[in-house]
Amino acid sequence: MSGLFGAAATSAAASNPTQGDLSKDVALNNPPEDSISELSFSPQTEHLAVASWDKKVRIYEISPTGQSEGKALFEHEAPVLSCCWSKDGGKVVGAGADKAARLLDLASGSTSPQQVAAHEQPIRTVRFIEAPGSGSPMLVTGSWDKTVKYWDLRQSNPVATLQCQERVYTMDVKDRLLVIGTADRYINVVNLNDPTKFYKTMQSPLKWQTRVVSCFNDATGFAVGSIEGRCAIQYVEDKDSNSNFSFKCHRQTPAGQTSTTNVYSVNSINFHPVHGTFSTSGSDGTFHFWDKDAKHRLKGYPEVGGTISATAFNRTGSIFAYAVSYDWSKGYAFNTPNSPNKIMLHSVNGDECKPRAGTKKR
Amino acid sequence: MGKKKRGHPDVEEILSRPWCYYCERDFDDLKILISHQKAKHFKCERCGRRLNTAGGLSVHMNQVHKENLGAVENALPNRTGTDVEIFGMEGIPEDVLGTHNQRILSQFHQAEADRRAVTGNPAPGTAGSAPKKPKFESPSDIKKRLAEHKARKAAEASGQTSSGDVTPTPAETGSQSPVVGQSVPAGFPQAGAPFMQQTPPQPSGMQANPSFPNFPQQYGDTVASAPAFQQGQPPFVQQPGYGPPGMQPFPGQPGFNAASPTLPYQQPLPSVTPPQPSGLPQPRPGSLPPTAPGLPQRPSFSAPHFNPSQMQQMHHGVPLHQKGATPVGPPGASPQQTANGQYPQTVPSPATATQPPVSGSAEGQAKAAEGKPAEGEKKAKKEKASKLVYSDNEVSPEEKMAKLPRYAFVPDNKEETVLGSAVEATVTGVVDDQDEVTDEHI
Repeated sequence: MSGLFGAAATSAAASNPTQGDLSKDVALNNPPEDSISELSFSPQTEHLAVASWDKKVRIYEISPTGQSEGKALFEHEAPVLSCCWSKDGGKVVGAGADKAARLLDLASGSTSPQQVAAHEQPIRTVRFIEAPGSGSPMLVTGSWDKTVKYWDLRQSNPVATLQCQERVYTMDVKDRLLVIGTADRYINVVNLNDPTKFYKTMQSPLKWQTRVVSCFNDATGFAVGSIEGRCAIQYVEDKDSNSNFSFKCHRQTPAGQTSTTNVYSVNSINFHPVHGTFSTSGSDGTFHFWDKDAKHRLKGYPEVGGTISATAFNRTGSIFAYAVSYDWSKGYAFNTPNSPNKIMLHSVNGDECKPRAGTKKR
Repeated sequence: MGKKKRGHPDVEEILSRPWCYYCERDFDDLKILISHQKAKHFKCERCGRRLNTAGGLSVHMNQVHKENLGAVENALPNRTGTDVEIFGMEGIPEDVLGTHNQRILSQFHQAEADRRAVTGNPAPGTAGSAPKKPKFESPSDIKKRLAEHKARKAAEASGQTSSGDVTPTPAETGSQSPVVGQSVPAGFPQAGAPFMQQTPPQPSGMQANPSFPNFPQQYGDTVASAPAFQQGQPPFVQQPGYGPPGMQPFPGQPGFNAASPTLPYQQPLPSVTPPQPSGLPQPRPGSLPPTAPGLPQRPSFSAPHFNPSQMQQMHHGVPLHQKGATPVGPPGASPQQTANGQYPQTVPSPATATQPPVSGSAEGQAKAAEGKPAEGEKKAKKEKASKLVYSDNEVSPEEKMAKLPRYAFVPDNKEETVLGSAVEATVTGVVDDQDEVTDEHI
């Protein structure tokens, strides 16, 4: 595979098999002015949407050389907590603390967003889905008001509402699988063919607050990340339950101390669109690539100089974007003006995310 | 001892562990051994397929990769042969099995001996039997000791115990005291009980000792604390005469007396004293036959009683009573332990009482070190001391962040008022929102 950001990038990480190289990573031009809450690549084009606490959603175009250019921007009335693309790549939706989801129709060249959803509390997460049957695009939003609502983008009332046990913290969709992670460690699984009821409700396999859920590419299960440096692989169906496992990650033993470990939150999990491997990133400022089937870590990367608040793979899996910005994990005192706030583009080289041959278990 | 987890297994346990013929490693159970063999020794290096036996691997290599398997991978140099058909523990040649067991046994005994050397523990079976030997101490020896003792007593009476000459016999003190304990339950069963209770204060009462010519010294503490017991003393003094009929070798008595002179000096030697009170009452009746007053038993006796406390220390980290026992140097170790072990050994119930504080202090330390909320603590203890960087299990960081004034819906004190008119238009809605945010918080 040729290096995305030029030939030099190809050979970069070859020398050390487990520790990746960040030196070739490129920073996004004109990043948001405040912490980044979510990154999302267009499923059709080389565009990246960025939701930020500075109340804006920005859309950048990424060139093959890794250069980036701001293409569009729309504003919320409060920090934006989530953003996503429609499947055709024509629309971007942001959702945030202003309790609204706003849609920008790029295809029509519109520059002003329209509100497409409303909750009683800040909307933590938003995803596009396809309506059962018709396949027309719909929106699903999860909010701290403990509900998940479905929107058809036309009406001001939700098509359906799902009452959750607790505040919705995270949500992910893949095909017909919708996974909702809430406070108090509830996880609800919804089959989008029957979107108005929970297909399954469970407690998170992890003992601490759920931070992120992310569906497998094949939609047979999902990964869960918690604030306690741990990640769980969970299959939806009981028959696969013996494949469930969890592992520790994003922990550090401070230099000079052998007896203590700092345990960091897992902030983001993304599955590689091609290989089915996945990334985790955390407040420790590192990200790693893993192979859940081989239960191996494929690659780890050195600290990037700040907490990683969000990550994303592009549609082909050739770019891994990670946002280095403060995630509030250490409280108010650490939110200094000079803490980094940037988005880096990491070129995913040949084998970085590929499951290793020969490690497969029989 | 109940099912207490020791750091080391029994011989039977060790011998019954499945082990790998190829690398002599042993495993918890057969399944693990088999998977180990499949992964380490019977895995095809070409395709990663894991076969069940060396023969199977050989055939596989032959048929699939057209190669010959020369040697088993990762095996010890003399065990690489593919001709021996091994599956788990099956197929191991008799002689190899024999030598393995031999080796395990010798290793075990070596380890045990080492352990004993380190801890000063007697061998499991010998604790009870060893003390019996002294019973056959020749009468002449006994007489000799008696004479020695009498001489010392005389010297003591004349010089009135300036501690200098007597103290150098700490071994005796440690060892003799047991005898006291023995004789007490034997002679005065009822008195034995109060005695136990009074033992802890002993060190403090010691000063009273010099005033008492004989045994009273030992009960110097009781003088201070329990007058009732004092009454028991006079008969005690006559104990030599009591000379338990059956106990011909009552040399324990001399030993007993010998112990008393040393007691006064226990203050200068804090390291010695604590073991005594702790050692006295309980273990003795249990571990030693009442008729075994001889010297040799003592070392074996006093040693084991250190050990539990050591164990405790190991389990609970820093001993609680450390501050109390300040002595420096090597003896410093024993006072701590004994100070610790004192309660557990004398009275069972205090033992349970002492333990929680100990663990509590450890917890406290961990807490202080980590400075993290109590709920995280259990976790921290389970794994090593781990510190959650974000430890609020109830509220996500985003929610906290969103509550900050700078992120509040109202664009009041945020300098980035880029939003301009759009924001102002929504000011009315803003106020509500803020209320709701706080509601949620509640």
